[in-house]
Amino acid sequence: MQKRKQIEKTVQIALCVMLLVCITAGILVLYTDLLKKDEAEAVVLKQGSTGQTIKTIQSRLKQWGYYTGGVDGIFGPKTAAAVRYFQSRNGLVVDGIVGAKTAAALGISLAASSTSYSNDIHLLARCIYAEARGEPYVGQVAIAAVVLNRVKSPSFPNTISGVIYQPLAFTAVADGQINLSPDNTAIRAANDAMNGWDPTYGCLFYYNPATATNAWIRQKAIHLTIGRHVFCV
Amino acid sequence: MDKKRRIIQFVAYTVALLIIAGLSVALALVLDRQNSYKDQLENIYQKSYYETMDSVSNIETKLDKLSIIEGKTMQKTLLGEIWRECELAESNFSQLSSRNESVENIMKFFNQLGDFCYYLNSKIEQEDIADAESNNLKKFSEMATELRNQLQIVQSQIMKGGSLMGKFNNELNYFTDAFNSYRSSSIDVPELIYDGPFSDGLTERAPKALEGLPELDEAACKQKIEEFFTGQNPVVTLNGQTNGNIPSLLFDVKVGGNTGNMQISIKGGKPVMYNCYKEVGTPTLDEEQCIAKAEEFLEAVGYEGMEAVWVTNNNSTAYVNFAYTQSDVIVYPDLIKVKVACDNGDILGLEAQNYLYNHTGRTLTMADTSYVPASSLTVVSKKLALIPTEWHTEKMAIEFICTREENIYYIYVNTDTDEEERVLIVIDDNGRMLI
Repeated sequence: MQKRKQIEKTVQIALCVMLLVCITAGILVLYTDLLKKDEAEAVVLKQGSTGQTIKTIQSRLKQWGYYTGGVDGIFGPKTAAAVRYFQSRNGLVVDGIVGAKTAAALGISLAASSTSYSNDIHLLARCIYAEARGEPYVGQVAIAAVVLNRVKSPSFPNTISGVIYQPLAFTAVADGQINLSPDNTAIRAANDAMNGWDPTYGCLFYYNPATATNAWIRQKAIHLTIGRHVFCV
Repeated sequence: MDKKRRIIQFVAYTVALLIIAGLSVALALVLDRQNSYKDQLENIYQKSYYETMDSVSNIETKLDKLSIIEGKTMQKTLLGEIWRECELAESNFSQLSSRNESVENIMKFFNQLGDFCYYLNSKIEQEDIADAESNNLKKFSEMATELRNQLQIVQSQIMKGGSLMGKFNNELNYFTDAFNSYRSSSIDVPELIYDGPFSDGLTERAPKALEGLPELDEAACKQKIEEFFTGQNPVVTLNGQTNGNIPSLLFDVKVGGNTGNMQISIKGGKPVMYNCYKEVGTPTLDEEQCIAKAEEFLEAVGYEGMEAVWVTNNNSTAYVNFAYTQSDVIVYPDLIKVKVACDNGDILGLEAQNYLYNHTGRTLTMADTSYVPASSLTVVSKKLALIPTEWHTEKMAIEFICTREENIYYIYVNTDTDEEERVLIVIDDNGRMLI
């Protein structure tokens, strides 16, 4: 009798646990979609930034009488002072940095730049971050260089996005890591590669010898080894 | 007591049943959603497949037509159309490709044929299609037929109701066989040498600047690097070797609180590449000061006769482009880039591959042009320049730097034809760019 009671109790507890697990699982399934919704990338412009957007900011500030300097596209101390002045007069946090709120008050958009060039840098940086974060810097530049070498090669697609999204070409694209936000290192590495840095001297492939299962890739002539990756043509 | 227990039991079983029912419904919903995702993906794959198929058939028939016609206008039209079909086919085919070596062959077929037709199209007004060239086109035509045959086998599988999508994260169904039989078929792939970026034989290059220089051992290379950074107490350690067109040694270099890597050619001990990561703070140096720092470094590593021709600025880092100058002619193929931190002037990188591949003793013939830029442009400067092509040859040109309102244009005029060879526009977007 005692034993049976115990069994019943265990069953009840088990049921309760199951119920809880199910509810949590259900909630998770329902909400992952909602949670995943675009975490917009925070773009901020501060002293040291340059470019067309800065020009727009400067001319706006000048138009409205907050700024007296030249419209040169360089976020210098004068521009920062003008931004602070603008923020203090418009009930914003006074930090001299143009973030989402200040930008909205200025009537400009900080969304990632619209030229294809910057988009390519960003995509390249995401690819580097997904494939090679934690690798030495030169190794990260090398990954980006391989992507760009493929663009130039007749045996691969002719655009950066074509190469990166070629099915099964990069594991980190297949498993969705490509959608992580890149860090500064990856962005700098992407810029270097775009400016011509190629430590691989024209390699089209790389793999991690510890995990690569593909037999034919191992037959290729190895050009160099950086960190965990070997690079080959 | 017994009754109470029975009630508890009843409740427990009902709850258990409800959970199972609920889970089943949830599972059914998830599976349903999964299937609809799968269908959508399958549709995209099939669309890409049919588009590729269409393009391959079009390429085949157009190549056939091209082989029998004589008139240049029609030839030009067809060449242009084949080029366009190849671009389309390449773009669609890249959606289907899988982890398979044959994919590279097929991709190369589209890219090379398209590029080759583009090249023929651009020169057909001056020259006829040569025998060797029509021979190559004939081989391409055979390849197109073979490819269409293989792709048609895939179609028959789809017609039987087969799905292209393979197992999760795996290759597409049916294609592997088609790709492999395409590759193993007895077609003769032409070795294609012509003036275009996808010409064969462009990847194997010898660095002209290193010709005849003696080979250095590890210790000598290490010493060279230490000399480059004299007075900065560099710590240099060997990291590895780089093979390829410029056999080099790769060193880790610790200098001034930054850690970077330098590749130095075994032949001649020239720095090929230097790169170093640093979080650059607020800029304090302007463009002129960055250029001066870069020039200083170039001299220290032994590259002489270089002139700064272009600077882009990104994340407070200046990329200074130097070109070799010979009797006032800018030699753009001999390009070296130096990366400077705009906060304290640290040298963060050097890239000299172009210089090492191209630099050699040249005899330049001076020339002028009768070309006059459009009247809406204001000419800022006019200079002789040697410019590189994408297939590693060089052309003499006159460089006009012009402005119109806020825009800056670089126009390169071929001195032989007096026509524009290339036009670049300065794009000011987070650091200036030439596009």
